[in-house]
Amino acid sequence: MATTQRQIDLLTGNEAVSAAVKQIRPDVIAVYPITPSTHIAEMLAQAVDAGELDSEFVKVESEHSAMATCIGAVAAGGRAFTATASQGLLYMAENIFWAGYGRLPMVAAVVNRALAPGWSIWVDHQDTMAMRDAGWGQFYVKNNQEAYDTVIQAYKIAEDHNVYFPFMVALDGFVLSHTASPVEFLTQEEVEEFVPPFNPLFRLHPSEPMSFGAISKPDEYIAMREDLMKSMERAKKVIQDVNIEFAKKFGRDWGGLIEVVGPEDAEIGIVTMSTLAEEAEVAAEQLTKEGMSTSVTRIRSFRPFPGEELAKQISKYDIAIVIDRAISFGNAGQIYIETNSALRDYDVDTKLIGTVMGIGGQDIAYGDIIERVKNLTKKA
Amino acid sequence: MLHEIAIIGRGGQGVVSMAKMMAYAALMEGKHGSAIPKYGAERRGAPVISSFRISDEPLRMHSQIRKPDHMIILEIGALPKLIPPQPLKDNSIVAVNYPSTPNIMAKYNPSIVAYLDAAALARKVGLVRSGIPIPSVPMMAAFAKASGLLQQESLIKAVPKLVRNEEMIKINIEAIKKAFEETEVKKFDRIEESTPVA
Repeated sequence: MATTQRQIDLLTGNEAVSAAVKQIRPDVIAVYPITPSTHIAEMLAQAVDAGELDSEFVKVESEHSAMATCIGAVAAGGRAFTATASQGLLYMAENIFWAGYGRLPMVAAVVNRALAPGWSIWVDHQDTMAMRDAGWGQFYVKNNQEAYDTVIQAYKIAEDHNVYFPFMVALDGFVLSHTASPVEFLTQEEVEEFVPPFNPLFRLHPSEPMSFGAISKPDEYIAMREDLMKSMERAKKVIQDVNIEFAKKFGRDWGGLIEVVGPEDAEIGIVTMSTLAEEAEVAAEQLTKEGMSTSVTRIRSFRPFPGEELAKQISKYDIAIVIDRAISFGNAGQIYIETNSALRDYDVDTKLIGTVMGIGGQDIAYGDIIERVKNLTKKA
Repeated sequence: MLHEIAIIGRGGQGVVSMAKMMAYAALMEGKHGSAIPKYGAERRGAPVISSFRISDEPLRMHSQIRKPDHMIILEIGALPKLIPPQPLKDNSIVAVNYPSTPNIMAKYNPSIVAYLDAAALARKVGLVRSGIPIPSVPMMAAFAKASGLLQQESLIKAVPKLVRNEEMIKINIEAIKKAFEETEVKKFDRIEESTPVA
């Protein structure tokens, strides 16, 4: 491991994301401010204004234009970044799908926030869940340090020629975006060594005219979608490899696709994402002390979905409780639906119970998780 | 060991920045601190609460503090709305911006009350914004003195992390030093509701 003296500072989630983006040095940044992601736009604009960052900061009039700008930048062979939340992500949606299906690797920080109405500025995952089929990778982070580390990792993964699609890094609104906690930086040399310059597979250039997104006959269309599906599969290994390389070099291991925290032989599993997962680590410790041996299986990469890894881990439990922070109305929480399907695919017969917590910004403490787990396991 | 501290005041009193300053001070002492503001209804004059955790171990809790170990109160009138009266845990410390121990403390029954007329101190040193004294930094120091959880030196070092203006840095440091001198720390077995205490 490197012995470089690394700087530690107290950062909010928004500051952690901005710090990582400054070190990644995108060619183009296009952000339309929206609560609770606004600080990201402000800090990057300030950095460009102060001459600390030589990115082209495009002042757009909407989120739709922000994503259109990023699409143009990546299509021309540049590295791009945007950030948004909630209604902003929905307004961006048409172009989100264009970037995903158009195979344009970039990174968007999405500060998770509930969707209106009722009007809410607080966290839940309904916004990013609405984009789960857009051909983007989706990371959900549990703390500010992971937000910083994952923005850096996401560029390396997205730009890998075996992957080559865009990624969202989702962080919980206010709970991370506005909460200050210690974050350790990599040095600029470390970031540049870890994430080499973007080497586009294809790009628009006057000397080599070509067309992107032209009309496609069904067979061509199917071939492109099959290719995206295969790339998603290949991305799983890349995500794991990048996580291992990062852990070796910088000492922090976020688990790759999933992260398991707690006793090896736990009988009860809590399956969830983001800050709820870190809060659940404390709940699991408490439950284990009380004689209910519990561990937390955190899904870090929701897209690509780690069905095999999850099924393998959940097969060790007698019972697993899936906590969603969003709902697919008319069915159930998205994590529950997808985890259940993975268990079927891999013939795992562990009892799986789905529950929803913390939507619309409801504050969830580890005590609330303990109570929910006890109630649900009692009924099972 | 984990300590959960609720910071109570009104919008404009510096609740959010103070929690962040304490987290910086914790970081300088090699401890882990996290400052969690509660957003939504904050505006000048409205009751506001901020959650501050400090521990020797990395912090994994992201929730608001509902049953604090300790409290720092910038404005006593804002307290009952934010933390309904209930006896605090054992060994709890309350630092309050008040010239004595307020009577309402009987309902919370802390073990230690640190009181300081922080508004007067803020006026004296020039810690004033738009004509209003800012009691947050002196109260942070009052709590540090009573609890020993943060050292005066690290609080002083944390000031320039949030305050950029040279003159204001000096004033804030002066406020910390004066608060350490002027804060009265009283220990209680039980605070009687009927008798005013000082």
